[in-house]
Amino acid sequence: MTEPILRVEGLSKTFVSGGALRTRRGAEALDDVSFTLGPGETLAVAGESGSGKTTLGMIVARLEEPSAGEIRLDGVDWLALSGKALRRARKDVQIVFQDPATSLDPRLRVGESIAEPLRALRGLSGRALDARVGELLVSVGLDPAAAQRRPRDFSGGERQRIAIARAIAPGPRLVVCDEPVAALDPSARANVLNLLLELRERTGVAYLFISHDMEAIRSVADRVAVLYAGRLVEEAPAEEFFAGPRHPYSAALLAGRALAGEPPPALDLPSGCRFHPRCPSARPRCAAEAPHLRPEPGGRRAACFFPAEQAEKTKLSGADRVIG
Amino acid sequence: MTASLSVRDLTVVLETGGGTFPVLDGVSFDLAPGQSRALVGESGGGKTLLARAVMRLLPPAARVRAGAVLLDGVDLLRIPEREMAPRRGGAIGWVFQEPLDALDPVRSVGSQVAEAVRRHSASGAREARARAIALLQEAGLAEAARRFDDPPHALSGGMRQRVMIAAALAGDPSVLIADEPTAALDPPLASQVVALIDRLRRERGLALLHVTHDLRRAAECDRVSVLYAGRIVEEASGADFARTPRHPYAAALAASAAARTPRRRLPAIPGAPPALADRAAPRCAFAPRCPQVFGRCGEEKPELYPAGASRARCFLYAPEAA
Repeated sequence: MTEPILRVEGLSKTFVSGGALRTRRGAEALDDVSFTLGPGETLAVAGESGSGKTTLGMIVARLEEPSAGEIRLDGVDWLALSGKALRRARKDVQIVFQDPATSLDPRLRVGESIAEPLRALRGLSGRALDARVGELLVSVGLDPAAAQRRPRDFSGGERQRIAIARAIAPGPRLVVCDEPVAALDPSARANVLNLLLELRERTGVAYLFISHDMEAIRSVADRVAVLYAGRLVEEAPAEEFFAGPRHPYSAALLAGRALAGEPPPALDLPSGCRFHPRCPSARPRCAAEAPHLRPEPGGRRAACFFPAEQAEKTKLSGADRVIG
Repeated sequence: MTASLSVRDLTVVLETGGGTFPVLDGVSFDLAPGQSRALVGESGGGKTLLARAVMRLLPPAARVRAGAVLLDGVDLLRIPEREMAPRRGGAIGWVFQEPLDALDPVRSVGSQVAEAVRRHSASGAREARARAIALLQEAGLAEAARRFDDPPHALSGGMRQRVMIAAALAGDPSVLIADEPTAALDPPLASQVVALIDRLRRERGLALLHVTHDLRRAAECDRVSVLYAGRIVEEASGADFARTPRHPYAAALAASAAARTPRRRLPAIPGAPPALADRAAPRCAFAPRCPQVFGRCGEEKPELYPAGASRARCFLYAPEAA
């Protein structure tokens, strides 16, 4: 097996709330998360708001620091890098956000936004820089003349293409995509997903694809990891995952089934399995004891005491319909 | 049955430095009490503009050029603002995508619902509070009385959306406009909110106008209107839309949303919707992107023709010229 480019071990993140020292409590956003990502591979991270998936992406992109754990990027201790070494390494890990408005400066021309990482991380300037900006715009399906315009002149889908051009500009090995298509209409969504697939084929980039859109995940992911209340509850190759998730939470996500209640607040987590208060198949043991991620055949892992075959429950109705 | 909401030949133009362009062009539909209608289509197609035109909340550059919006028989476009204002949030309730944008961050969620109650009925403070708590309960907010004094940020996204829905019910609406109410929510939560809105529609006989990108949700509505470049290009029942979208644009939209093949290109629609200035051209607005384009499409504008049980604005369904 090829060496993973990303190895995440025991990653935890606790946010400490304000207030008097005595009453201060830690809100656990991530708890002991481990996974690997191979070169050119796409690992999707699924989960609801508050599951910790955005925090995970921010930590992998070194935009937030974890409370515990280790990240190795091509074998190098990624969290130990600082100063100049970190700046140099940043070209290898880039991020694309849900809303390009947050990553593109509205005052800058599009060309300047894309040029910035090339200048800072690749040391390009002058005509070589302009030429590279033009190439990047073409590679995301835009006209090189777009460089002269500002973000407001573009549709949401086009702005996301620009944000992607900016992310791939320094030639990263890994791009963290945080809900890259959640704000887009179906057609723009399909275009952006296609673009991500194309870029991967062309450049061999790996994606950490964070999303709550299970259909988007189905169309891009090699493997799927599911986060619930800060814990990894399942991880599996995409084909197996979609054929039959093992964790009841994954099954509900996949079926788009309404679940009772909402995910627990990070300040007030339930005992045992964090999903048990909402789980349709919870038993007494689930409230008493936290299940660990257990390896199963086929390279999959699930954190459930009763990983019943969920495939039956996720069968979608209306097979004759164009729209699932 | 008489419609709660009837939109007739609505044409809205946008006045820009470069000229005046139609952004909604001859849009018509009826919505009966208890009926749901989805508005779908790409961004820029006119979905949100249509919802705003119904509420008479168009952006300053947009102007109604023709048509009528009948709410329980009254043309909203022909009444003075002082008669329109109480209908906003009154007979017409609405729910947005992001409740945080609509809720005042420094005031308790309960007081905001109570304020909506008082705006639409002459009730005292205590009465309004009781009514607000009842509405929050109806919207499924657990422990509504205890949460009454919480600020919006103390609530989860799903709970905030329930507060928004409670506020939308304060004026006892006959029409509810839901503009992407679940776009910011994750699947299990989105399903809860959709189920809630659907229950309220049935129990209260609400006419529901559901603006959405989510074609699966659209297919669950009684009726679906597909908007493209400011015109309705398909009008179908939810079931027919899901089974056999008729207009090539509706079919392409459905195909782009229904990705079933792992790690393969999705059937995206090539190109982009026409620029505003090009929409008036005498041709089908979808022709430049259409896989089934033929001679006539570039020469004149199609009407809405019967297509199975649906109607489609496409020459493929035009009756043979006599």
